[in-house]
Amino acid sequence: MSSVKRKKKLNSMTDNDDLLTEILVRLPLKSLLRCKSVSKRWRSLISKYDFVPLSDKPTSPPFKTLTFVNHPSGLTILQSCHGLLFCSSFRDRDFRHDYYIYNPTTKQFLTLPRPGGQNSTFVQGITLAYDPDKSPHYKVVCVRKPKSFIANDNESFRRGVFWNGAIYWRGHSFYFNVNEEKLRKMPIPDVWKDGSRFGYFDASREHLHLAVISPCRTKFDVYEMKRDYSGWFLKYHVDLEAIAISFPDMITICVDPPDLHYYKFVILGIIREADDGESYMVLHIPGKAIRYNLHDKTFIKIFDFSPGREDVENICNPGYLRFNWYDDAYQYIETLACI
Amino acid sequence: MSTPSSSVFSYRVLKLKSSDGEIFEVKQTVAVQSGVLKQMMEDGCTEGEIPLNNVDSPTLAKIIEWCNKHHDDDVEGRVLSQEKEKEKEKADMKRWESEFIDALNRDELYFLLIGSNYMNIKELLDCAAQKVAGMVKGKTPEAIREMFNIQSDFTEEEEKAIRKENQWAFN
Repeated sequence: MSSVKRKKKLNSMTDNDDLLTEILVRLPLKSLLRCKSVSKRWRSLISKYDFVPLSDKPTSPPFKTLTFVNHPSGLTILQSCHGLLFCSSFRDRDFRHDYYIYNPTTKQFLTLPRPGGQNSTFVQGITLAYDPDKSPHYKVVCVRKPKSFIANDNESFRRGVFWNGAIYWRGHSFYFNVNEEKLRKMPIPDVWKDGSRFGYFDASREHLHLAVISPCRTKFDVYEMKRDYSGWFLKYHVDLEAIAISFPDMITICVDPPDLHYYKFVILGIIREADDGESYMVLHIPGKAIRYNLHDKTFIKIFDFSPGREDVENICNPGYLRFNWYDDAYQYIETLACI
Repeated sequence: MSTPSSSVFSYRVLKLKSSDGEIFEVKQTVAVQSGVLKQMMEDGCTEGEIPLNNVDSPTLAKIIEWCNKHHDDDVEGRVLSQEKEKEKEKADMKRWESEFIDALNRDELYFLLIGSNYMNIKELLDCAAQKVAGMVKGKTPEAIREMFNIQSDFTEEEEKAIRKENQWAFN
């Protein structure tokens, strides 16, 4: 075998897109980003697939605090949208917030300009609209209300959900189509009309989910919105009784009336997988996080919270569990999206 | 062999011809691990020599060694009844695989990757690609270029811009 022939073959390895991809998908993210500057072909291959590496399954939390900017009031997450986190500072002395878009994978972030100076209105909430399958650009939608307008529900626009080109707010019977820039009516399921605001309302993959839970029952249903926004259909029946039996800490006996008892749990996320048989729900129960398979109803404890400070009982609604005063959880998705 | 029918089958061999003209005889039951050869067997076109123009003789020898080892494992796996022994077999195989891959020099590894891709042998491709990825991991773009004999086609400004965009990865 001549060395000339061998050399020729050596080049054919990195000339072969399939073969090069086989190698690149096995790289951790940091190496993958470095590889973008090897050559134009490597860069286009990496950008084209926009793949998330296979080998980089995190076993420890990717981060524990938001420190990408050192804000004097501190930061909180408002929304997770296709891997980008929409964050805001807690309000300052002038009751104002700063808003940020943050990619926790690449650590890039952008500070949004403060919403304009219309003194006659309050900012009620801001929502990020970003869908990399449709467009690399994102929009940010701000809801304001006149100062003269007194509403008893200040929080309802604080956290919007972006799904299928539109923004939704928990408990409202309309949505905002971002491209048309128009408000449209949304059908709401009967369970929602009872006025219960406890439950779950968020999107995963191509699906918008809604669930209304009652602390007195282990059974509830998960509804999914039709793609044409025309209505909700029943997607999953859930019964957490088996979890309550395994983890009786969930059960609280009520003082009055004594025959009633509550189940302490919060839905942290309903996560759809490409294979729906693998789709699952993440629950917070006292001291623990549970992963519950929505199809075969199996469950597994995935996390122990350190004891003491995390589980906070909601005083207004006994039995209803909160996590650090916020009952919200946000999905962490790796993305190379530039901000 | 455990059953008469499989023993009849296993005596049939394929003649594989490497790019440098060497002939290798491989049992059909072994060759079936290659997606390409399996397809040819199903189509009934394995008479005579099968030319493998992208695989030289040292590489083909290595590929056959891999396939033989994995074929043997399958047969034993069927005979083994104890769960524990199966686990041990699995662990032994993992060890054998990493020793096999680690013993290759860089050129041999590249050729094996090309060969396993060409012959469509998934497990071997996985193993070899993982090894090459391990070599790329943590390297600077310059070192990667040198490793694969690649010329950068970026201008200085372009390269600066890309590095700035992906600054996080260079810290």
